[in-house]
Amino acid sequence: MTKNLPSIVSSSVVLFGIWLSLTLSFDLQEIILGVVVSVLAAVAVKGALTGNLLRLLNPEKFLAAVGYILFFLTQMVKANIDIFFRIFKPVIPIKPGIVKADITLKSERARAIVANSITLTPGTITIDIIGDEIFIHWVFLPGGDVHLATQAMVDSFAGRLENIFE
Amino acid sequence: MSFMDILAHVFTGLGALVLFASGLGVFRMPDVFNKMHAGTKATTLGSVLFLFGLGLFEPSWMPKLLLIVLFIVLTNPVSSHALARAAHNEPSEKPDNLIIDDLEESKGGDQ
Repeated sequence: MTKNLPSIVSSSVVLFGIWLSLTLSFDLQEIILGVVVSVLAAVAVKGALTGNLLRLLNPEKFLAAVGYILFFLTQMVKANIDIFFRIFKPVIPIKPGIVKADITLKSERARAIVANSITLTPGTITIDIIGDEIFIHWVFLPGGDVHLATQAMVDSFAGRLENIFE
Repeated sequence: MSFMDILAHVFTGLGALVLFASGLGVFRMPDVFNKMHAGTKATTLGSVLFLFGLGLFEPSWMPKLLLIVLFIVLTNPVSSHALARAAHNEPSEKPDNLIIDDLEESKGGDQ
């Protein structure tokens, strides 16, 4: 219980935030009910909803997290511009392939974030993770050594997350 | 027409355009994995832009719309992984245009 306390607190805060945005009411009764329900739900799942977010209170980690989100958003916009112009070409330029890369992150949550981020960024989707290897489908294989290029792409995400999670 | 309204039209319009491109992509791409590229990336940003534009029309809806956006961004890639993984396990869905397939080799090594 005490071990999970930071996770439970983070989950309660997030759940309460969701409650507030759904009810949009600052009536005292509703707020009290919201707090009670959020805490009960967070305790019931032992804080697994969010994990420990309290470490983000450390300014360095907070900045790293903001940096990651900005990096991810720019990549996502780039991905869409890329796919947009690809789709409207008379002959779609594709050179597909599935390439593996190593993933050194140990935390399951961090791995899930990396896999999701890769899926939403230019030209790549994650297909599977087996052990410490992640398999990525390219819509257009990069030139040169594909394994090196893929590893560099994975590390650009994983490296940023390492600062936050480890 | 206020500035907010114009901005809202721009966002919803862009969102609709991206969603259209996504649908066209799913139609035009030759095999299941490449369809997934169009069907995941473009639908995510398309929905985000469209919902954000909708929030600019009705600012009081914004918190709820942002919750939907968060949910879509978190869950859309997960469904794409599940589909891609299932497709790769099914031999009849296997495209023959893959130039390199490390995953097949890894699976072959396990057996």
